[in-house]
This record gives sequence, structure tokens and C-alpha cells, in this order.
Amino acid sequence: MIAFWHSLGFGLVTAGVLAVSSVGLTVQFGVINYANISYGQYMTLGAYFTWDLTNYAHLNIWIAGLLACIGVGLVSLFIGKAIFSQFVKRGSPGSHMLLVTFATALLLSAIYSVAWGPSPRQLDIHALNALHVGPFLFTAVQLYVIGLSAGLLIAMHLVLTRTRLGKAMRAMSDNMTLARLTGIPTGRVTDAVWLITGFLAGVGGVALAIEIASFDINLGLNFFFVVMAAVVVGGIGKPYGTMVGALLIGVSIEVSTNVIPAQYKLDVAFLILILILLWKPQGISRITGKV
Amino acid sequence: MNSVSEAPPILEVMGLSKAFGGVQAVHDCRFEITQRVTGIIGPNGAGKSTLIGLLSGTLLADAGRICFGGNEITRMAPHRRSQLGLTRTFQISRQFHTLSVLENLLVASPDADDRLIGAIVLRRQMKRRDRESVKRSLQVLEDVGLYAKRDDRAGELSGGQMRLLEIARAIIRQPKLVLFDEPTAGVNPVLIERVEEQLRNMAESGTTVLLVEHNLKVVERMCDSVIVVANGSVIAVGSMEEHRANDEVVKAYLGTGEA
Amino acid sequence: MNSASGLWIANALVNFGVLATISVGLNISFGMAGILDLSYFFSVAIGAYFGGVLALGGTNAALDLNHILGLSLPWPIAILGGAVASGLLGLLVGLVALRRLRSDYLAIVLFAVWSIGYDIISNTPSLFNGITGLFNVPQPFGATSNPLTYPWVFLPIVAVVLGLLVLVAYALERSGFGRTVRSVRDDSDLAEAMGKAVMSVRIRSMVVGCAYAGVAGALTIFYVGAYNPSAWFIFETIAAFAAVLIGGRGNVFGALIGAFIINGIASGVQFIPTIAGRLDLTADFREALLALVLMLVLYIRPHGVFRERLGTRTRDETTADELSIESQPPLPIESVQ
Repeated sequence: MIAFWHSLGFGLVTAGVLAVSSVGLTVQFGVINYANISYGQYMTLGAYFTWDLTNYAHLNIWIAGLLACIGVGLVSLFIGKAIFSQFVKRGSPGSHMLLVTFATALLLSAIYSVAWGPSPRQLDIHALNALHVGPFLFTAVQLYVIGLSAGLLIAMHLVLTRTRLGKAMRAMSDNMTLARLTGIPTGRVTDAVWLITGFLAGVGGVALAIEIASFDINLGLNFFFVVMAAVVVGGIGKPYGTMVGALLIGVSIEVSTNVIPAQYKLDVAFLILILILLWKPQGISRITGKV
Repeated sequence: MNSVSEAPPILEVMGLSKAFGGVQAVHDCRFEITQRVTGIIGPNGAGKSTLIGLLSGTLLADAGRICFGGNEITRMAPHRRSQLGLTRTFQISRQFHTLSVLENLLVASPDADDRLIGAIVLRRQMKRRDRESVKRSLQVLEDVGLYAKRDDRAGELSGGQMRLLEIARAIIRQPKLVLFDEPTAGVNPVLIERVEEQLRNMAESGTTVLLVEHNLKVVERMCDSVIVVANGSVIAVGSMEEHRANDEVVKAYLGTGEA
Repeated sequence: MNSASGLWIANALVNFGVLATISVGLNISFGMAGILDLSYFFSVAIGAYFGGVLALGGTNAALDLNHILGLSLPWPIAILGGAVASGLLGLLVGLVALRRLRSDYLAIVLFAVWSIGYDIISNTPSLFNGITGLFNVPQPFGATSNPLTYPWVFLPIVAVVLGLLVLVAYALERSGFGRTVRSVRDDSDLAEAMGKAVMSVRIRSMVVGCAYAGVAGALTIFYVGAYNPSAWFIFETIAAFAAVLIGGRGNVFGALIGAFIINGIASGVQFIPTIAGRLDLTADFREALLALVLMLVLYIRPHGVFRERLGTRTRDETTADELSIESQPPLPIESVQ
């Protein structure tokens, strides 16, 4: 029984990482209206930038992480404007955009391989003391991750509901034509979306790297489709549904290890995805009733 | 035909209802189609598009029944209804844009053979059938006036030509009943004549024509009977003259300045 | 020409043959039907595995080679078996995934299938020998050939198989089925209104495409004699889509040309001088180059080199005579709407 509670605790951590990453992806997806397969690569970048900053610049991990994720936001903005929007301007259909982002993911893979090489790395946190919180067993760093995730999700919620930018993002996500007609500066809002969601991806990557102890350049690639699963389960462009989806999937992944061999962890996410798609192709948002 | 009893209606709609997210688009709609050419008119928002969707199968009714040629088709999939002989056109012309005009017809032709294995192993037989199909299609294209465009890709046609292609596709299917969704919308007056001509030809060759139209002059010229739909139900059936004298109909159209 | 470069050419041609099989198959499911099957290479893998286990004898504990089946079937049957297995997989996946054809949903579901399948295969040694994969697969005419000249032996096999598959693809391209597939791709609602069973059409296209992939996989395992789960097929997937897109979606001949070009790029990259100390740069360079090529094609010429061929053309003279048609004056061109 203890194992169950511990796995549930892990589930919350994974859910946290997943939630931050997937909210970024779903907001991005909702606004640009195509799937950005290289999103996972932004996560990888967050981890590697942080590693470089802590190791070469000897910065404290929090500062390093913050700078790194801002860096990722900038890279995301660059790629969005310099590459993706060129194809959008040409009127490329959705399937072509998917291939473009797929190709970009491959390109980034090659660049990462040249820049950082294949050997795995670790992000050292120095906060591995175990803490008992009720029936759960966490390390301090895991609690940090949960706390950070919760904080960012709340921040995102505030941005989406209280700021003009957030409202513009939601409008564009719901109905692009109408948004344009009502005078929303879609270009500038899209730029902001690239920045913010890139930042979130970076945070997701750092948090993931911390959680799994050792990572390599395939970090984001491997995790991307789990993030995508959470997005689809929650409903594309629906941040609150996605948070629920992330919670569902994150917890399921970890708790399932009590009954299924751990190698199939990520596949549990895909199984949930397939089942949800069969049952409710729009995602679970309709059930929760949230936008 | 027996002069005492009439032929059973080719289309019967009974108690049809459909709601979208709280809005009752179609409510307890009932009518029968017995005439050769019947028009369906009504102000915007009356539920005509929903009705077409329900008849063609792209929408499933919440309640009610639809009978076509004696078959209950209420829950039947669109392609099966089409195979039974119920064809529709679209309000905004649609076409298979990368296929040629001829191929558009070949695909629509009732003898189109989709078989996969057959395509590989029965090539000679298929080629023979194709030739027949091509001949028929070319004849239809000639009748409609699109013969010269037969090898052009459908996406490159002008608006009016696309409209004629829609009609050609309907013709080649030799349907029992064809549902025309605003066939004269956006068509210039010169072409409207040709469209009407084609519709009349179809009716004369035995197809029942159901015409959903905004252009009341066309409806008056063409239809043996006119059904008026408003607020999701049928409010009157008869001739245009009767409708003009009908207070309820006039009220339904009030403010639109169309009558 | 010395035998070493001759061998290189033979090998490159075999690779071309395999890629061409993949490309022509993908041209059917993606080019003609518009299905973005990102898990295409999983079908290739299934074809390889089943082809292998059908041709292998019983499990060989001495070599630590575990697998299912092991029926020692002759290789032509094994190749067919691989194609059937992949086709069946395509059918299953299609039934689940093709209900909603929005590219993103489809891509994620297909990837999910791939990932689950890949993990199951890697972690279940009794299936296809897990991570180590299959080896010792009896190669066609392998017993009687010199391993050094084997590419030349295998080349005719690839040529014949590819030739047959190309003929089938041409037949489909010009058939009613081909027209229907393209019509469903262009406008599935209209196709439905014209009496086409859309789901059935899409699934059949997917099955055919996957069967082609299966053949390619089987050819691979018979050529190399071994096959194991590589970590990622992203590179190969990009290559396959690039080949179809370059050649021109919906065009069999284009798919062949596209395969030739992509294969040329992938093989030619070998000749870039290795940089001392970073021998693996070639692989990275290949990846980057291919990614850029695909993006370039999508940007400059998304329709590819060759346009999609019209399946049917009229022969003006004969048909017009048969119908005694006198050309009507063409319709006046009017402004749209």
C-alpha cells in the first residue's frame, strides 16, 4: 500500500511537469492552429541551457533555470517567425505544417547532437533530502517541482483571464477570423505566444531533467508525445482541460507501475489517449464544462 | 398510373426535429413530396439548411422519421442514401478540385467501380466499363455545356462553370430524387436560364426535383408545388399565388423584403 | 570500374529499390489518400519482423535467438507474409485512427501506436528477440553466394519486386479506385454525397500503403540478414515523405524520382570528409540536410516536380466522333459569385 502512495506522489510530480509543458503546447496549438512537433525540442533546450549555465557560469540553479527558459522563449520566437510563419504565409495546409515542424525537430536534433554530443548529463540540485508529507514520500526537489508547476499554472491562469494579452490569446484560439475582425493585433499576440509557450516548454524541460535524474538530447523527443497526449485528452487549445488531462495522465503513468512493468510507463499515456479519442474525440473539456 | 389512387410519395417526412445546443432548428417538421418539381422556401434562419442536412444524412434527427421510396432512411448514413437514389447538391459549389471535370463525373457515376482488388486483377474488364462510363459522362457534359472543359481540373473552373458541374454530377447519378441547395445562388442571370433548363430536363426524365431556393421568381417558374418553412416547421404548402395571399407566410417573410 | 565502386553502386541501387518501394506505397496512402501516416516505418518494421520469423527456423537457444513462428518458409512467401502482416496492422490502426482525419489527431494516434508497439517488441524477447533483434535470417541465394558480391545477387530480386509493385500502383492510379481515393481526399463530404463509403476508402488506401511498407521491410531484413529496433525512425520517415513530396504527391513516377533523389542525397553525404575527432558528424549532417531539403521542397514547390496525373484522359477524335458531338461555343467567362 505504501508503494501505491509513493507512486501517487510521483504521479503528482509527473503531473506537474506534464501540466506546465502541456499548457504551453495547448495554448500555442490553439493560437497557431497546427501541431508543433519541435515543441519537445524546446524542452530539451531548457535542460541543456540550464546545465551549461550552472556548469560553465556557475550560476545558482534557479537563476540559471530562469535565464535558460527565457533563452528558450527567444529561440521559440525565432523559429516561429523565421521558419514557421514563412510557410503559413505561403498558405501551407495543416499537413504540410506538421511536416515542417517535424523537419525542424530533426534539424534541431542534429544541431543538439553536434553542440552537446550524445553522452547523458545530470542537473544537480543538492536538495535530495527525503520528506514525508502525509502518506507521500517526496524529495525536497520534487516538492519544488510541484510547487513551481502550481505557481506557473496559476500565473498562466491569471494571464489568460486578467490580461488583455491573455484575452486576445483566447479569442484567437476560439475564432481566428473573428479575432482579426475585432482588431486584435494577431501578429504581435502570436509573437508573445511563441515567447511565453517557449518559456513554459523550457521550464517543463528543466523540471523533467531534474525529475529523471539523467538526460540526453532525446529528452524532449521522448516526452513530447506524452505532452501531446495530455493536450489531446484535455482538448486542443483548452488550457484547463489540458491541466486535468495532465493530472490524469501523470498520475496514471506512475500509479500503473504498481501493476505493469515500468518500461511501459509512457505507453500508459498513449493508451489513455487512444481510449479518450475513441470515446470523446474533442477531448474531455466538454465533460468538465470548462472552456 | 391509376387515376383513383395516387402513387405513394417518394419522400415522406414525419415529425422531424433537431436541436443544436439549445436552439431548436427544426421542430416537428412534416411534409410529403408527390410532385415532379417541389420548391422549399423560407426566410433566413428558418431551418432550411438543417432540413437539407437531415434529409441528406449529414445530420441525424433527434426525433421523427424520413421515408424515401418506401425505405426508412432516418438513421441511414449519407453515402447509403445516395446509393439508394437520393442525391444532393451544395449551396456553395463543391467539386473534386484536383480531378478533371470528366473525372468528377466518372466518380459520381452510379456504375463507378471502387473495388481495390478488381482494379488490379480485372483491368481489362474495368477498362471496358470505364469506356462506357466515359461515353455517358461526355454526353452529360455536352448537354450541360462543359464538354470543352472535360480535361481541365475542376478547381480551375469559374463560379458558374462549377455550378453547372454540380448539376452535371447530379444528372449522371440518375437519382430518384435530387435535392438542389440554392442552385442559382451567385449565378449570373444568363446562366440561371441554363440552370433552369437542366433542372427541367432532369424532371422530365423522371427525377423528382426538390429545390431549396431564395430566388422566388425561379421557384415560381419551375415548381409544381411550394413548401414554406419558417421557425423550423412547415407553415404552408401550395402555389406561390396562394402563399402570397397567406398572412402567415407574409408575416414570416416580413422585413426581409423578398416576397 | 573496380569491384569496390561497383559494389557501392549495387548497394546504392538496392537501397534505392527499398526506398522506392516505401515511396510508392506512401504515395498511395499519403499522396493519393492524404493520410499523414507518421507511423509508416512501424509498418516497415512489422514487415521486416514477420518476414524474418517466417523464414527463420525454430528458435535457436544456442545463439540466443528467440522469436515466434519460425516456419522456415521460402523467402518469396515470407516477403508476402510480411506484407500481409503490415497490411493487417494498417487495418487495425486505420479502424481506430481514421475516424477523425484532422492531421494532428491522426499523427499523435499513429505515433502512439508506434510507441506502444515498439516498446512491446523491445521488452518482449520471445516476440522478435527484443532489443537485440533478429539475425541469422536466411538470405535469398545466400548459401550459394559470395557475401562480398551479395548486393549484385540481391539486386534482381529488388528489381522484380519493385517492378511488380510499380505496375500495381500504376493500375491503381488509373482505376476507379484511384479516382475515388483522390475524390475522398479532395472533399470527403462531397464524396459521401456521391455514394462513397469514405471510411472504407481511407482504410483500404492505408492498408495498401502499409502492405508496401511491409514488403520494403521484408526486403531489408533479407538483404541485411538482421533487423533490430532502432531508437527512432524520424530520419527515415522524413526521407520517405520528402521523396513523395519532391516527386509530386499522387504520382507514381514522381515517387520513383523522389526516391532516387533522396537516396542520392542520403548516400552522397557519405563522401563528405570526416572531421577529425567527431566521426559521427556525418550522421548529424545527413539529418540536418534532409530536414532542410524537405522544408525547401515544401516551401518552393509543395506540389512536387510532377503534378498529380489525371487518371483518365479523353481521346478527342474517336470519342467525339462516336458521340457525333459538334462543339458548343464555350461558356462565357463570368466573374465568380
